[in-house]
Amino acid sequence: MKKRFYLVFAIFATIMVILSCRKEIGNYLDSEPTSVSLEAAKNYYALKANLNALSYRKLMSTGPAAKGGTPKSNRPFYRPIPKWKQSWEVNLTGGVKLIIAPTAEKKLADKSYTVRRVYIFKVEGENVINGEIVEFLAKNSSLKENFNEIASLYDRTALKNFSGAIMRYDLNYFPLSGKVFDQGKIVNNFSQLVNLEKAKTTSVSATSSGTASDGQYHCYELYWCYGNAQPGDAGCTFIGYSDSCWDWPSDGSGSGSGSTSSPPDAGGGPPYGGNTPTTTAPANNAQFLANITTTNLSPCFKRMLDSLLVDQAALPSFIGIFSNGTTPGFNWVLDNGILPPNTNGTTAGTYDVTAKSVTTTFDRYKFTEASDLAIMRTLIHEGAHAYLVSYFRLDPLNATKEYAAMVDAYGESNNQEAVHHAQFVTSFVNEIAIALQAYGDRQGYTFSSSYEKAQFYDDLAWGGLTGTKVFKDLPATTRTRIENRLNSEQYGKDKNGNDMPIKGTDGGC
Amino acid sequence: MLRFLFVFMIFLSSNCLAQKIEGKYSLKVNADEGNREFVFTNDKFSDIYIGHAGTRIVGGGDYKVVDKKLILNYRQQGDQDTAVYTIDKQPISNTAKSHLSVKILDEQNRPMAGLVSLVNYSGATIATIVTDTAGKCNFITSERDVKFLEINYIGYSKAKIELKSLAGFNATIKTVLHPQTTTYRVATQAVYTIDDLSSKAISLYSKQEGKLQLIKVN
Repeated sequence: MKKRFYLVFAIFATIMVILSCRKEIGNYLDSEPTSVSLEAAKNYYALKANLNALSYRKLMSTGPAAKGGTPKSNRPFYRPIPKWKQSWEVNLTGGVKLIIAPTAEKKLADKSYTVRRVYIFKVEGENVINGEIVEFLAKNSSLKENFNEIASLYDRTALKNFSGAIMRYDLNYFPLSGKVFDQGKIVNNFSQLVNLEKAKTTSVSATSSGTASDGQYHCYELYWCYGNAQPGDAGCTFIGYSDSCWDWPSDGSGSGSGSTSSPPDAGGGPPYGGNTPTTTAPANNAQFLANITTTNLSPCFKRMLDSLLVDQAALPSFIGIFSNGTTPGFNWVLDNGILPPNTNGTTAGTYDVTAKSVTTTFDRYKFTEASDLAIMRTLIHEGAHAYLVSYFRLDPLNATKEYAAMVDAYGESNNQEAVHHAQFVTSFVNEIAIALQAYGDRQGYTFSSSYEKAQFYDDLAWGGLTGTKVFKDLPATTRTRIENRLNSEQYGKDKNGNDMPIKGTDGGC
Repeated sequence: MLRFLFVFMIFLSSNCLAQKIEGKYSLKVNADEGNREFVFTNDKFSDIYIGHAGTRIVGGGDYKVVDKKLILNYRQQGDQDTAVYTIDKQPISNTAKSHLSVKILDEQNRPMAGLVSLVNYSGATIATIVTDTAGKCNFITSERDVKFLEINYIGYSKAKIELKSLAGFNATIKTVLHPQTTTYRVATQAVYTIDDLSSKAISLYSKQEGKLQLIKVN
């Protein structure tokens, strides 16, 4: 009898424990994401957003871009928190979708601007292939009605009728790029939103939402800045106060709207590339091109370079790849030669101090079946090698800081090509795609959709990088698509040797 | 007699299992991915890659084919640390530490910036010092924490200097870095499954590198 009691009690207790566990598990599941993709995005975020304030300070003290990004200022550590419960999906073609998670957003005093700040995770199948923090700044338009459409093209190079900026950051909030658009076209490659902390003593009792204590009023002023420019520089445009400074009358304007300077106009003030000290002055760009030696270059390659000279608007996108818009400070010697199989071009691994130059050799016989796009993408790719080689010799202190991860990797492998290419994947692939699209647009190449177009140029930008680990880790279908595109533009055949038409025109080699 | 025949058959079959690959093969890659060639001669092989950065990546060693597996035993092919350096040193009293002054020059004896890495006994880099643009830096370190100094720069050769000989000295290290023309693959073993083997091509697979196809060149 006693035994039976214990047995029944044990069974009862076990059932109770199981039930209580079930309840806890159920509660936990209630707050979890409803889709596999969202779960993958959370995992990706947990893995990549790995910097805390302490490690950030350490990073900044030894070089702000140890990750290989290009932070532009000594910004304090801050990373917005993703609001997972408010996230949503946007389906793209080809089985790709975006998980978009909003974050805290600042209200702007200047009503002509709208800012949205979100986390965007690109998901292919069940794999997150990229995650970034993206800030969208629209000028004279709202981001409410068509935000999904704009957000889905956040990494693209043309946004129909969009004027403003798309500022991309890695998941530790290090700036990656900040493209400025005017009527859908990119007019500059780097801008960012900069918070300037202000502590002022003033009477603010009349403000609508501000709070004051002992006359001290802390707030932030928000600036839209080009390149390295800081608030107060000519390269920055004030766009309003953030958060608690909302409606706080600004010095001088007294308008309550907070706007103290004119918003940038296309082709005018910063960051649209107007007459500011930090933009690429045409004379400098022309100087860079004038310093490119093409004496021995084959005519088909020379034509590609000349096409850049014909259209000055193309220069910033071409030069910006290498140096975020500042004119590269090296003489680039372009030569023609015979190279080993599967090698379109090769760039000297060291800078020639005497001639102040870096030499790249192209093998025109590799391009007898190639399109103009294959030639242009090779030019740009080798140009990026030349840029890194010269940067490390001419400005070693900044180069070793900006590309600290590359320096570490070289110490391990002694393989310059491998560390360059790994850096290209991190820093240059998007920029190469932009420059290629700018070229393709000028040639009038058309596509069935903006997505197809963007994907085409993104694929082409992988040229020369298909041996990298990142490429090999891409999903098989993506790899095959890219390989087919690269091979078709080069040989008119896909990777298996089947005929595949080129998108560009005959390169003339 | 039968016993002899049996042993002979076993000998023949083991010979068949231990296949040889002879000749030059080129790795099939995408457009502009660089050229990697393998040459198999007797039981030796070489593995040379030339790509975009003007540096040859060289490896080689011995190989064998066993049970449908190609096993490449990479051996050290050359000395990666080819930078030339001189050391002037004077003893310092009452310290076991090293007071070091480094000066880096390029192949034409012009000052150039470089990197001085402090490597500990586990082989880990515990600090990297960037010299000034004149190639100079000064620092004090201890043999207790640091086993080697590595002096190099991206695209250049490397000098590896044991700190033990500098303990208790005030030393000036003058290093001449040369452009890196060859990178040697580290000694390691690579194992590939042979998916297909014909007179024209070899299809290989490894977990690290995926599917590879070697096309016979001659």
